[in-house]
Amino acid sequence: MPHMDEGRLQAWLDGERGGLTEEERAEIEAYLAENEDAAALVADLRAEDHAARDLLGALAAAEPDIPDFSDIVARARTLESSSAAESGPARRRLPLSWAASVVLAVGVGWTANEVVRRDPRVVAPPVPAAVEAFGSGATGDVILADPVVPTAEGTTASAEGTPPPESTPPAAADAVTAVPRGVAVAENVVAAEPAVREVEPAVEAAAERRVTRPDSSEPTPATSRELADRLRSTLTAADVIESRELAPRGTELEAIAAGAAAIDAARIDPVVSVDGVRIDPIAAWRRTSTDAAAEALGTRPLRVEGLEWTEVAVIAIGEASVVRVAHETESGERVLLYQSRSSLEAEEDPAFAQLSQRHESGLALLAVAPFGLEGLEALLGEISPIG
Amino acid sequence: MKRAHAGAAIDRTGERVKTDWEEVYRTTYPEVVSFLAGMLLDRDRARDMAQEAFARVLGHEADNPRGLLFRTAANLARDEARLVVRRKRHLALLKAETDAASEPAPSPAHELERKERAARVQDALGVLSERDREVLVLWNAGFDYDEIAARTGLSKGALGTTIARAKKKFMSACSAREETDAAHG
Repeated sequence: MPHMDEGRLQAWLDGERGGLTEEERAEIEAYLAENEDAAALVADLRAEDHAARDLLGALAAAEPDIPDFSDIVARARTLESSSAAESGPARRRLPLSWAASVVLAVGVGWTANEVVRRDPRVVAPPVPAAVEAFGSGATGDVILADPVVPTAEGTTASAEGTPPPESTPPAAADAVTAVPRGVAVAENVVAAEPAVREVEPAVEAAAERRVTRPDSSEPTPATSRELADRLRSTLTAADVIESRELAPRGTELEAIAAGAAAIDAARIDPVVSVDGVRIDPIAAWRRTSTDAAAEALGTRPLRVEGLEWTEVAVIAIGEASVVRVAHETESGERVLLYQSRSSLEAEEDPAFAQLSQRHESGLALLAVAPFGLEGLEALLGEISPIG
Repeated sequence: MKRAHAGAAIDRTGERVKTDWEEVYRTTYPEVVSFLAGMLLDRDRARDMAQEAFARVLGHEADNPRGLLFRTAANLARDEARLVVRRKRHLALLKAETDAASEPAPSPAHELERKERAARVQDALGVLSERDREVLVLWNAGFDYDEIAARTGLSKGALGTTIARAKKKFMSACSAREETDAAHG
């Protein structure tokens, strides 16, 4: 009988939710009946289960009074009214104070759109035109049309940027998720301006100071990253902090911070092409399991040994599937390993080193990291399947 | 009438009656907050997000209201965790929360003890890698391996090992924190 590792015993202990088949369970039980060491290990694991649950229960035990249920009902009504306010595609309003983040996000979107507009091969996220002005700004709101009706579970909705209700403190999610919208809606930027004009003067001034649209006479930058970098060069974290200190007016400045986060998000990934078709860096990669990634690739996804992998994401471009395994170094640098059955290449970018190779499994690999080529070569020497 | 799950009732004819979300709320709120606090390491945000999760599910019929609720909460937490700013704030928040929880409060001694214990637990969760923490919290909330695998990107076959490892690390971090606190009186 094969050695029974701790992981399988844990899965057995977890019963039905451990996902073992009847045969596997029977095999483990037979093994435990004959093997005292394994039985002792199970006893330890069970004790650890109880201890861990008891400790984690302390978090709940420390929870003070439960807020009145009527608060929840009121909140649910707010959610309902905000999603039902418009017919057709679900729409949402951003509070006036959030317009600043929209300015920034739209700025990033506008610049990214330059890439989309000038290169029809670029794959934009599957989001329809979304930003429009709300009248002449009488309410001061900006409405984003949401392509997906919010769901209770929030997965689809929030992944696509469903906002927190108005009673929720501003979260950077709005600005971050607004970026891909910006790519698709860049043509509406001018239309959005009247609403933005209603932003309080101080915020408007701050936003205008920091967001500079490229002049039409300027040469077209090669990548959205370049443009995002340009924006970012005028809006640094220090600026945000300084602004907060000078005028700590909460939401408005939070919006600026969120805008900075949006720009950060836009600059995280390089521009990668699969079979010559560029994948926009802020396109909708879908986080997935390694099993699903293996199905998409026809083989187990690969990782860099010695680094902690943090996320597996997939995107389908035509008939090609591309899997992206993100890793993090100890110093927090992000190492991306793109893999596909189709050919992969990344645009040259001074911020990243990139290296391509064909793996013995037949996968095309493209590694991208924000450090030297030498270090990247060393990392690529240690590739292994996940799971 | 028998209960299928908390808040979801079926009558004698086997027909489901309206989900009693108020009951689910009363019995599950602290658990949802602790689940989210474990995921986010930010108790105030966890409270707000728990209310958001309840508000989202309210009015929906569910065979397993608790399952729907925790899935909703997990989705909200996952989206929150995507934020770049969250990572940057993480350590500062953890420290601030721990400090706040350790402050002598004008409450009975056992209240203080509970808060301190919760702070230790939250601190210990912060020692785990993001993925180990997520797996542990999802496991503790009762998610099955299929769902944990889908949410974390881990292979289902590797989950048992990850859970066992995360438990050990977590308890070891709790013990270390407890010893440190005891040493400091």
